[in-house]
Amino acid sequence: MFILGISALYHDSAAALIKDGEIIAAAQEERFTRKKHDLSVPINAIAYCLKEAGIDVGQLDAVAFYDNPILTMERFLDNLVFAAKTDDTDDLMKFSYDSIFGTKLWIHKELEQALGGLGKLGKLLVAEHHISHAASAFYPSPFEDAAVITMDGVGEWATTTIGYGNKEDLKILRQINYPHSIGLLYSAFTYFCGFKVNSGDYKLMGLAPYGKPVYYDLIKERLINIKPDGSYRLNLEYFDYQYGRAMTNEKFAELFGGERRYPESAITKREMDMAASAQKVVEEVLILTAKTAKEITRSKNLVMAGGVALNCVANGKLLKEKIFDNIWIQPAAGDAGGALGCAFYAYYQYYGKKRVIGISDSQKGSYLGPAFSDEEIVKFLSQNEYPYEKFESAEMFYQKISALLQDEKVIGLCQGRMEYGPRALGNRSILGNPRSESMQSQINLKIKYRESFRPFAPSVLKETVLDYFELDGESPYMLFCANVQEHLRKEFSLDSLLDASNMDMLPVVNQARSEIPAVTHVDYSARIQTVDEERNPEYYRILRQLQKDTGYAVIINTSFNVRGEPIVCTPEDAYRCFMRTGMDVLVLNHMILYKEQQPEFVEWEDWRKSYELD
Amino acid sequence: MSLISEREQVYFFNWAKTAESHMAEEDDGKESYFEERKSGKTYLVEYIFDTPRNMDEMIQKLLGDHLDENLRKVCEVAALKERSVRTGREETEKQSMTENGSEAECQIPEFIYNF
Repeated sequence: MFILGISALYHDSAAALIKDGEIIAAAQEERFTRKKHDLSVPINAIAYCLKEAGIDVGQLDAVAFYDNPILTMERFLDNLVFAAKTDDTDDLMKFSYDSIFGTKLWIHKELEQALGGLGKLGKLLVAEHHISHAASAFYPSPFEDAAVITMDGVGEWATTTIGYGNKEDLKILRQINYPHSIGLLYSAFTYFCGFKVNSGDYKLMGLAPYGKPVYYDLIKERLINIKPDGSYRLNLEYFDYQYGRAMTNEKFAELFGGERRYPESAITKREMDMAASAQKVVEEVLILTAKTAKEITRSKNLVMAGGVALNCVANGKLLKEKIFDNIWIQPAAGDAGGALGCAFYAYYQYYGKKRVIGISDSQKGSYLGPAFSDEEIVKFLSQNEYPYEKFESAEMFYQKISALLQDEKVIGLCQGRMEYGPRALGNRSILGNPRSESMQSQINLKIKYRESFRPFAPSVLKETVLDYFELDGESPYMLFCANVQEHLRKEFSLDSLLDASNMDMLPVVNQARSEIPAVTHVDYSARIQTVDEERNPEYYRILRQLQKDTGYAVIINTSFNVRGEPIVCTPEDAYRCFMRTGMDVLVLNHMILYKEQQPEFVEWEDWRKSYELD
Repeated sequence: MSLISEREQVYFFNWAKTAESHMAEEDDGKESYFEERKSGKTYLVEYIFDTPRNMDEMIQKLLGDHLDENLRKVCEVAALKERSVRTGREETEKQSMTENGSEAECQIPEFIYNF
């Protein structure tokens, strides 16, 4: 039985295909259209999923969508009532009306037209937004039963839910509804600190360790009322999103001493402290909610999804609390993952199929996107006369990669199936030597062209993770932060450095904080990916070789893209990104390309203009 | 004959009845703000929405008796807007999907959350 799941029209459109409960393929539309966070109907991702399975639309048993537009319309109308009280409905009408009444309510027609049919069922199955998130977290998890927490900006009405999954069964037990939303609160701070709503939330998280949570009490006093069970209400007087406008209003600005930071302008201590404060509030809500979920469900397992579940710092704190024995988080925790969730939910709940639970999760390492064969790559390179080195012996290939990393070369790695979700996990990654003191700013400024303060994540062999990090368990999807082990840390005074540099974060970043400085954030934390042979044997062997040669089994792993660009998908995307940046080496499967050997790369237009800064 | 399906009527009537209650923001002394989900709730439905040609009448008919003057103004705007969307839609329905699907219709400014 084939079921196609689709998410679209909000953020990060995606398609996912399952066959008899097994994930066959899943991908975000942005990777194909090269438009970051693309929200259009994911016709390219759908085409890819069908191609991967070798089927056409007529062979689909069902098509499912991850969000109920009628409920969304209901919320929109409710919002109109609210805004109408102050005769302030212009922006709602301007920005939301067309998308709801002109597009979202018609999703069945849009999809039928785009696909040329809706499969054998002939009807679109529509799942609620948060049940889609919940299903994406529970069904692929390795747990027979689990408490389920979903948190995001908003989906139809719900913004936070607690649920329970047991075998095939999945229910939402408690929820908090719009306009009260911890995700929107965090987005309000993201916006106010000068980052883009939604896509910039992880920047706020990365900025938080530079600051102190001096606004924590103020936020709790004025903006959010948090109950002991983790439920909350926002004080809407400080926000403008309910009018379809900017996230915050003048009253919010007054509370924090002036206007919001203008995007791309200098970051001040205020933004650092606001980031730290908002982060602390989110962590508190998450931990209290988890305690409530434990109390209600009595399960020893927790699964999570929704955009807030991508906050790996909060996840790391939750893990340390040991409220649950085991935690599993959907790697595509944002809206893209809803495509997978609604497909699973239809399979188990609409068709009543039995769930088979494996020892490991069934997410397949989240390597669910397109792969390219050696033949396809050779054809691409030969046609364009791009010189490369091909290794017949796998061992020699790994030795070469290890040598290049030791030589502090920056490597773009494009191999195997593309990752599903926002994290690059070793198949579409930029790799570097984490022991280099200058590597963080070098990659940020000369390769990724992004803000210097942003940290890089380490990939580490799963069996050696405790040698480097205080993480007791695995983190295969880079969704948990933990501190670098004390014996690896170096003395480091963040406050003195910030004072001395007049709040410029670049000198701070360049100051070594540990034996692996490029992946150690200013509070000694790291966003860890544990690598195991089962999920990614190729990447595992690169790390094994590096360990054999240097004694270190850690590597910098950052997504293969530049700022504002979706992660690369094809060898062509990878080559383009390689040539546009200061990357030294490109690896396509087992073929290595060296920058100095490549022909001049001519582009008639400045490529920076083709990507909007995120 | 009803302009909309029974199920859609239920949605609208429920909304009209509860609209005011969703926006309370004071601490009312409650121990928890979690709402319990009713058992038996269907999270997945076969999607039907085939009566929007009468959307403007539907909105006014269902809400006109319940809500105040401000909302009636909103509904009037909504009705006008809906008619223009509908007219535009009828024109574009004849065309096949473009490569980027419905992109043009759902562009959201970067400073707001796409609800």
